[in-house]
Amino acid sequence: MSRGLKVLYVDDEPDIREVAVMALELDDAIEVESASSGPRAIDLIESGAFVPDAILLDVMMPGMDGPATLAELRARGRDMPVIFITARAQSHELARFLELGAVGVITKPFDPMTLALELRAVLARVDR
Amino acid sequence: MSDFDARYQDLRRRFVARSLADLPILEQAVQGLEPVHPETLRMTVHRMAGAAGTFGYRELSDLAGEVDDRLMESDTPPAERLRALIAMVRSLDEA
Repeated sequence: MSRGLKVLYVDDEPDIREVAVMALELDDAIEVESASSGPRAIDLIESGAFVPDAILLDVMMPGMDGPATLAELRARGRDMPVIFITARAQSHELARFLELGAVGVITKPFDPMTLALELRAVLARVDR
Repeated sequence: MSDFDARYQDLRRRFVARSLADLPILEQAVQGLEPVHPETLRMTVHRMAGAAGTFGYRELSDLAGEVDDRLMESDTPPAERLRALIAMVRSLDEA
């Protein structure tokens, strides 16, 4: 089946990754791939195995965190929109995340039934 | 039950099992007999805060988020809130 929007979900927590993929797949027009770390996400993109139209990127990950992953993607000339996924404790850092080049932030815990809608709402604001 | 619901319930059970498995870290932090590395405690609580609500445990998510906030400010565990968190995690087993 041909899908319209390719989304990469990056998070080190396997259960959250799995539920996020399920949640995004509720939208028939979204094709989802996931990665368990920033370096794996970069590998997927650089190898051409999966080049997303948008990336949902967890902020707090061991090793290369979300902001470092975003910086590496931009350094490699990858300019697809990146939306940070962040826990409430970091939500006060919203302005800093946007300065880093993220187009939006979705707060954890997310509702699986509305995650795809939240993503589309952020992307719609970018397109405006 | 739809395929989505079945998979979601399975992940929900895994979340509960993982949270119960994390209890010794929280208990150790409260008892203070053996110190818990602040980062280990912080990551445990942070993950709980981020995941619990997604699996329908909003109250647990809020409480873990509160503890997470406190741990951002200080490495000293907020004992009273941690005890409440431990009790709430234990109650998952009884639900």
